[in-house]
Amino acid sequence: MHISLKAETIFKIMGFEVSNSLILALGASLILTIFAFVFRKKVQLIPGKIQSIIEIIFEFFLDLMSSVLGNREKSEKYFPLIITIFIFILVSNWLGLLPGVGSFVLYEEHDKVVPLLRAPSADLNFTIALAIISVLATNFFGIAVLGIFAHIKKFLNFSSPINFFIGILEGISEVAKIISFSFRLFGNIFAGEVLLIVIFFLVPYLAPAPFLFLELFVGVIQAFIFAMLTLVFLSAHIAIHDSHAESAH
Amino acid sequence: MDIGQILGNLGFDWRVALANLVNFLVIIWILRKFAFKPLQEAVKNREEKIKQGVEDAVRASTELQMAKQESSRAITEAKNNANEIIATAQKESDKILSESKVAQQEKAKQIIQEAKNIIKQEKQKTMESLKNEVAELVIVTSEKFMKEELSRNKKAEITKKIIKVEK
Repeated sequence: MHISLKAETIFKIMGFEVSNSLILALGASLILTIFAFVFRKKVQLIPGKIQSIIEIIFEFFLDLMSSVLGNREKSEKYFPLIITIFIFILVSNWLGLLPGVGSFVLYEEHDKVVPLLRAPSADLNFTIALAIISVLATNFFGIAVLGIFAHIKKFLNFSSPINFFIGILEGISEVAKIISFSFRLFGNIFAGEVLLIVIFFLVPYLAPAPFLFLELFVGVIQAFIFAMLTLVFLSAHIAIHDSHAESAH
Repeated sequence: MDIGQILGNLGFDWRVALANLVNFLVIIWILRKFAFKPLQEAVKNREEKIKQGVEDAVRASTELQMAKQESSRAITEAKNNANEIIATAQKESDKILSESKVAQQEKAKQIIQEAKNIIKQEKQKTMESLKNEVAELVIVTSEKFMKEELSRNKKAEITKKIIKVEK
């Protein structure tokens, strides 16, 4: 039994190491791309069963976003970012649970086992990338709504010592968000992988089934948490605009 | 041990992270362009269609209500007209009947009167002819009787008496 924190390199392209988790992340991208192209052709005014289910899920997210952001217009504006984060992480997590992922071994070196595929979220590179996107996007939308100076003022505020200190804390919290986002997702999914490896190693038949269900659930929950936290941080960054606007009036 | 080394031990490689980041940006662009926008447009179009349909249904319902009121009013008016026509016709027929009844009665009276007159005339004629016949019969009888029993003087005297009686 071999457990590695790092994603293993499968091959190199001009010095760039392509890891097994990156391959599966690209696989998730490919699946979503195919879905997008097929869906585009099949979208109808009177929805079929699949379109109805998708619309129900989207409506659920839009309602949830409206309750956080305050109105439907804002939720429609930021919907693509939030739902893409959710869907992408969800598909990545579930792909990591497919039979063969982690168990299809490419080669073995000494006591090191290199599987062909690895759950993308069980690689810190994937989760840090998403965390950076989440934090950058919330700041970007904050700037778009508030303006660059008002946004910077949140981090560098010289109006009073307390505000200055709060500003510094705000800046640190932005970095902390990246760390908490990335390590939460990475920790949960990696722990799930380890749990499944251990269970498969101890009792290969039947016993892993409940844990697989658990991991399916964890996959949804982690994707949902990531998307919702992004939404809440986004809401915090653009909600300040309203208080500014009110004070301006 | 610096933070880069810690992250390195955990498998962090900025180039792979950047690849993942670009990968995500491509996916969000594709999904937004080819999935979310068409779906949002379809939902909006559907909402507009439904709204239009509901508005049409409300308008049609109002129009139906108005048409019902109009037809109800027309029916009431027609009934009133029909009642008026029936009443007029009734009056007219009553008038015609009463007129014809009077005319009939008068005609009947006239016929009765004419009949009475005819009967009276006939009676007079009969009486006259009866008198003449009786007189002739009396004369004939008297002649026969006088021939046998009475003289000529006596005859004349009886004849005078008879004539006197007749007058």
